[in-house]
Amino acid sequence: MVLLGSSSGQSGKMTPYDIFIARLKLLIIMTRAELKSFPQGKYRKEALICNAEYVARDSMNWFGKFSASHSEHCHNHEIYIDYFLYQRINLLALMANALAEAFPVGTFRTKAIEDNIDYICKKIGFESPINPLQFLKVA
Amino acid sequence: MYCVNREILSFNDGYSVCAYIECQNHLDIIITDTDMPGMDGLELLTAIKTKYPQKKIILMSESADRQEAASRLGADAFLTKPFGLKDLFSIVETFVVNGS
Repeated sequence: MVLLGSSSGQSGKMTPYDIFIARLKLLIIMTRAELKSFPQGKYRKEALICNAEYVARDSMNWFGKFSASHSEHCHNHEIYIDYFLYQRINLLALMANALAEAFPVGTFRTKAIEDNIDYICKKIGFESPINPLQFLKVA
Repeated sequence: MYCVNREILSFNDGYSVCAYIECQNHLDIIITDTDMPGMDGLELLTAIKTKYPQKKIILMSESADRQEAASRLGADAFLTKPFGLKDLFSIVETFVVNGS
């Protein structure tokens, strides 16, 4: 049996905030995969759009709040979702949706999306590794 | 060749999962919480593994104490909460990419 997740001494509930941060990180990774033209397929496209909508909607609940995320094995990393981060998360959700729908993006828009992702990653302390996820190149 | 473009279905309880598998036997991987209303995750694990031992079942729980029972009943993986995105990608890699 494969054992994953927290160690037994750190087990506990997942909070709605843990789930929000996990979904935001997934949105970042899948948007990066889209920018790198990984094939997506029908279900992954639907999942990306659905997750983008969820993150945009749920980000409102965390706007202006300090919250400690426990989602990465209890590494308490306090994140404050200020006005700028909130707006950038919403922009990411919007652009991820556009990418999933195969709307054309030029060089400048691609750069703007990458810059936005870098900003969010820095704020939430996420490295967003895409290279170890090369297996996503298959639809 | 593997395929990561998989349809994801959600069910409200274990009975619905069992009923679905009986009608349409095309679920490859089942991820369930141990604590669920009605049929709990361990009961669901037993019910499915008895009839369909080839199906992959992943249990998640906020209580690491359930690991032993999960292992004894044939769970393929145990996910202790809270977990992160990398654990979910590990599941994809283990059961979809390498397990195909």
